[in-house]
Amino acid sequence: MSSDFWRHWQASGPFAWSSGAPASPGSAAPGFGPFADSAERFAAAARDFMAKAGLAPPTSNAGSQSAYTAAEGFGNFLRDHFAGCFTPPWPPYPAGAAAPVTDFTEAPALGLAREQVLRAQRAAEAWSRLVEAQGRLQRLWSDTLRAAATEFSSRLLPSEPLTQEAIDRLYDQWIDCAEQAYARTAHSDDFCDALAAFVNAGSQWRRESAAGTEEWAKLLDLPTRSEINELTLRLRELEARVGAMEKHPVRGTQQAAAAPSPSPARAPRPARAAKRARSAKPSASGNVARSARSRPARSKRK
Amino acid sequence: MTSADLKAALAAARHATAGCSDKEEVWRSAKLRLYRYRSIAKPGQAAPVLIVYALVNRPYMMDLQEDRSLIRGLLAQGLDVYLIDWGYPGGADRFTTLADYIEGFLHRCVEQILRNHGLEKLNLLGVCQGGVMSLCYAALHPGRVRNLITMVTPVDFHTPEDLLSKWVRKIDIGAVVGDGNVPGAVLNQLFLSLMPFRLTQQKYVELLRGAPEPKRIENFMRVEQWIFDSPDQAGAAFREFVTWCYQENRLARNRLEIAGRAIRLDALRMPMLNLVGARDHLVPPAASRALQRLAGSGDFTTLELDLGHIGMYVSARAQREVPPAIAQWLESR
Repeated sequence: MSSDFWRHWQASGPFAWSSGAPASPGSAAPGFGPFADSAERFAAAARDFMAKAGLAPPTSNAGSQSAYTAAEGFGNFLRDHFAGCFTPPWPPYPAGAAAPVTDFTEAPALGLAREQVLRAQRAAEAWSRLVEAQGRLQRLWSDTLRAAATEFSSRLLPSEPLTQEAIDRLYDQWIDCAEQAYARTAHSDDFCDALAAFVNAGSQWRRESAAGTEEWAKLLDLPTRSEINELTLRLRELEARVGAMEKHPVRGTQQAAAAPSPSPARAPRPARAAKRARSAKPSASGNVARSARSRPARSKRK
Repeated sequence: MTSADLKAALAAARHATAGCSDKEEVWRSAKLRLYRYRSIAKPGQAAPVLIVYALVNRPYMMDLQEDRSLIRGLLAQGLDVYLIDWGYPGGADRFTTLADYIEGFLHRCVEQILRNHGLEKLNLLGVCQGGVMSLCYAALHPGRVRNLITMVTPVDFHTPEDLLSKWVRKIDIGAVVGDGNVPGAVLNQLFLSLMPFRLTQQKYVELLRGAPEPKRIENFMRVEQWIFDSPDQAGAAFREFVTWCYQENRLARNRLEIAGRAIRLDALRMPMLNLVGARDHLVPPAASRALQRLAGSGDFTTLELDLGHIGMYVSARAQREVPPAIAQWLESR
């Protein structure tokens, strides 16, 4: 049997990438490299287990210990493999900037730069909370892999010959154990709390950082996201008013004059609209009504 | 098998494209497209079926390839099938709300179809999040929906098995979304995190250790394309959906409002068919089954199949069982 059963598929050609671990599950991975590498690590661990198990009865302590060692070895590999799993996809500080220290976050904000310092302090505090939550998640992940190894070793019966099919079965069994252990962790309050803390801290850090970036953009007379958002909202408001006028000319005109903000595409109420149309002054509504009649019954634009 | 065979199969599969049934665009609005599929069988008597897919992922999963196409199966049963493609939201769509999607886009699609056919009602088939939107629409416009079909649709978002719900319960969604959209890549990561060992490791090893049959590898690559072809989510609608449904469970509690109007499941009186995946890891079966308890319809059918979330539309078993079940159910109503 080949010692590199999965890896030989990527030996040459368009998927001959290095087998470096991806930064995180789901991130751009170079072809089959990481998966083949992972599977090969497992196969090596399984072979090691089989070899040791052959020297000891499967039900003995020594057999069980060798199974655990093999599973733990693979778990250690996965620990490295998923090391970037809970790393945020952005750097904490601009390149070259020093990491914050407690002295900074607790320093009084005074003078002209008071607002900027406060914002930077809030960002630094958020980053600290994020790092703390990341540590909790990594510990839970580590515990999960250990639990998976324990479960895996308790299920093993090293009595079959060392074939590729046997390694395939062991691999699938290990995945089952790992998913079950992960599910227990992922449903736990500890994990949910740590995940929420991680995400919430990241959100706050991003918000403070974005506010700082906007300030720089204003200094350089560049358009900011807030300004574009404001324009987008105004456009929505105009679209809503035009839409209302096209649907119900009289009511729409009244709404356009009165409404301070767009209402999100409410269902028309024909009876009320018709009643208002009947009571409206002909001179005020006639032109609009005629132009609306010349159009299709319903606007195709949002 | 040899590595050369596998390489050749993978290279060929790069050109495999999703979508197999002929369709025509019958209406558009902004990024939305409404498609009507060309019939392939003698038309039946049932009113047209409008498929409302989720905002997450792309709707071509409904018509992936000839032998894995829910739409083709429905067409073969003589049904007249329409599908909404929501498109890819961009930065300008960040303030699009659930009300915009349901009372704006979806409502106008329904009106368009009804006008084209000279009908008062059609059949609505909502898939996953699209099922929630269909439930809302049916509650707001019961006079427009003849029959309502929901497929792998979450209704009770607080069942014990619902991992997504547990995770987001303490997350400040408003802060996560801010005023922006939610990148599709973030959702991909979230979904992979539900079963990280299977979804980021085992499935690729399985592909490598199987036979390098071109068809098998093409199937895999089409599904792979679909999984990672995730549109960004319009920020406002995403925030509303997560807050109202996942965090506050308003739909199941009859506390949801869309555009200021109450969505009451107990007021739904039209015939309803609810398709549940017994092995669904995204929408736990209990989350879907709850609809029977909560809906007011006196003509309610639950069809639970031993399938997962994706298997419900693309597995061989789904191809055999789901379209005929839907067609027969519609035929008798």
